[in-house]
Amino acid sequence: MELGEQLVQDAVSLTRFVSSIVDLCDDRSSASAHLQSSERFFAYIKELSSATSVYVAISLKQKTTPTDLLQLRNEIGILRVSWRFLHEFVKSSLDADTLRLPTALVQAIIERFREIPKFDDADFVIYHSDQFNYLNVRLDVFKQQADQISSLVSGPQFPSNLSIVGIPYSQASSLFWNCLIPHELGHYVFGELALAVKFKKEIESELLKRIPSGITPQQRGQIIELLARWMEELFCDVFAVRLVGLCFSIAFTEVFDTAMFLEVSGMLPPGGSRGETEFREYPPDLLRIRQQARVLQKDGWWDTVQSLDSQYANVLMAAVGLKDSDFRCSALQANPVPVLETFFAVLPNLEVELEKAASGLQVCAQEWKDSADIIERYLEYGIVPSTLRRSTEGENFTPSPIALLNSAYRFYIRSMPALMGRIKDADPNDIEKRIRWTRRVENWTAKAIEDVLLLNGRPTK
Amino acid sequence: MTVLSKGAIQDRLKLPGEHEAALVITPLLDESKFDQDSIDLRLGTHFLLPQIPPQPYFDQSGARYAKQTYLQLHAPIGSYFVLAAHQTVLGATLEFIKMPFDLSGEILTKSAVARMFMLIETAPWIHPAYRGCLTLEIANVSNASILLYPGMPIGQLVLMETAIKEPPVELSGSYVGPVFPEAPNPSNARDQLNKVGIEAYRRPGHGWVREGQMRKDLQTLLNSVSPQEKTSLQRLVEILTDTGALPSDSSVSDLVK
Repeated sequence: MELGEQLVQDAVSLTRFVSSIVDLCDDRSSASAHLQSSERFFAYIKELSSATSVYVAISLKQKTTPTDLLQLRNEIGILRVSWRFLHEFVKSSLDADTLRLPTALVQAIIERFREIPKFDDADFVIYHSDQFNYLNVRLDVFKQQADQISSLVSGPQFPSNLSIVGIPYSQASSLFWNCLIPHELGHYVFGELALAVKFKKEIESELLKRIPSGITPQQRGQIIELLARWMEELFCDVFAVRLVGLCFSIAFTEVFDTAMFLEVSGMLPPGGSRGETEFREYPPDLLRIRQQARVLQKDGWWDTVQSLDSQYANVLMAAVGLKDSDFRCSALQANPVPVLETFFAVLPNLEVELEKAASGLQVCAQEWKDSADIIERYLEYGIVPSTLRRSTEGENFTPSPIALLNSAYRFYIRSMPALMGRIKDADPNDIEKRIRWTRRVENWTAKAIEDVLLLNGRPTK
Repeated sequence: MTVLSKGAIQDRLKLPGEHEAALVITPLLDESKFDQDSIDLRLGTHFLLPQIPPQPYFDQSGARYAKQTYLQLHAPIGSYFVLAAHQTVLGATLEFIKMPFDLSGEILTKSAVARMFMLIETAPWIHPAYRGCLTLEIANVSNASILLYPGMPIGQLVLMETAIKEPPVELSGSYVGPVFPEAPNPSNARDQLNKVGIEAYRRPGHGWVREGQMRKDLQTLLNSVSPQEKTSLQRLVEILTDTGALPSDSSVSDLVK
């Protein structure tokens, strides 16, 4: 077969492939709506697709010499690889329509995030992941693929302020567990502020102070990469706590079942090394919780933690007292390189970077405390707590979405029996009924957040 | 029964939400939406569109009724929903309402909406102590499609005093908390008739069923057969149920379980 004919077939194949992705965006059911950020993403994909098709069609006509044709074949190959990469995110973002997302929660978290002056125009596309994990797509990787297409076909650049976050599809309806989303926004911050570079330098510097002779540059590089990954995870955790407060840590302890570390007494088992088998790609959960607890202390949440009669609060209280030396890992400590020692030498910089990254963001604990009790009282009486009133003489006021979220989460872990006690035939020990009323509380909270955004002039979409 | 005036409604709104006599309406986007004896309510953002059922009717005598599918829709504020001519849809008020223990309410179609030949409510009564967004049975009875904009004023809430003196000790679960339109979950019509002694009914596609007589005859038969024969009878009833000859929730089936 002639090269020209081969290329026509390749071009047809690529164009059909790209069109099939875009057709999904066009064939959306009128029943679904999407976040504005998702609409921007779909518009970008359509524009990029259009530019790809036009480029391939024109190139095929213009390129006639064997050298040109070979170059075009190479380009078609590159385009196909990059479009395959984008392919993964289109359908999964379409699936995450406003009926299959905690839309009000996402909107509230993004609004809160934008209170940080340097991120005041940031936006996030949410997609459904089939992994049971929350994911931030690495923007550098995504942009590399997307911009590879753009540069070849003279298409649009990927919007600079847009990031992509995946949530487990099964968790789409849960308000409380999706309080983990702010961690993924932390990854965006980490990338935007190039904190990996910063931490790697610090790690290297600490490592060089301790490094034994005989270590290869490759080994050194691996250790730096590993410790930088741990720092990134921890940064995202503490950033999430600063952003939304206690609800993040409670969601973390609930979803990752960290209360299993505790004995029935609510204490950690005495002695023993913490994290022995857990220093892997991520740092151990107990260490993550300790770092979160430290920010909770600093931000004024700690009295609330101490007053909570809950296994989730117990984990936080148990973890906060752990010293660096309590964390051990025989496998790492058998290594001649003092990996953990280096890591704990760098760790104090975490909070330094948090302060810089979240500069301008008001800590939300006090605002929450001012309205928490009344929000929870409204929930106990089955009332959507978007317009609150303390007394007949007082004025109506609307709480912030973050106050609503934290109050509702606290209500869920300590006051469901009080609500169900007011309802006929609602036995709080009946699992099905408890789930039903938990969903109701989540719905009331989501509705209240929607109302507040509407009252503040930012309707949910 | 006295209809509450604007001032009386506002007085109720001033009570803290958990107060038994408090009225809560949230969000209140526009304070000017109070009339002399009513308050305007707006259209919410979620809808349930009835789908064409697999059989050519809604049968509320069978369990299937509760499982009739509805297409769930979300039209965010600023968007719209097209309600075709002669089409119906379930919607809800944007406002969440908590009724005082001693007031009843009624939601009426706003006259401007009614004059477009759109009805919003056929079960307009709101019981004391109710709390939730009100489900609206919206029907476009005109000959043209109508665009429904979430957030638009669509109904009027009128409140009336009742003779109820004491707040309820417990709230009924069905009255607490919907924030979206809720699909119907009617009590089985056959059960309701059974309660008043009517045990013969006409079953769509199957003709008359005399359930009381069937149950009596089957019971007599069961009392007179051997254990092996009883097993065969159980299997027979299972076959009749599986093939639809007997309703799956029939009390006759219960006899052999």
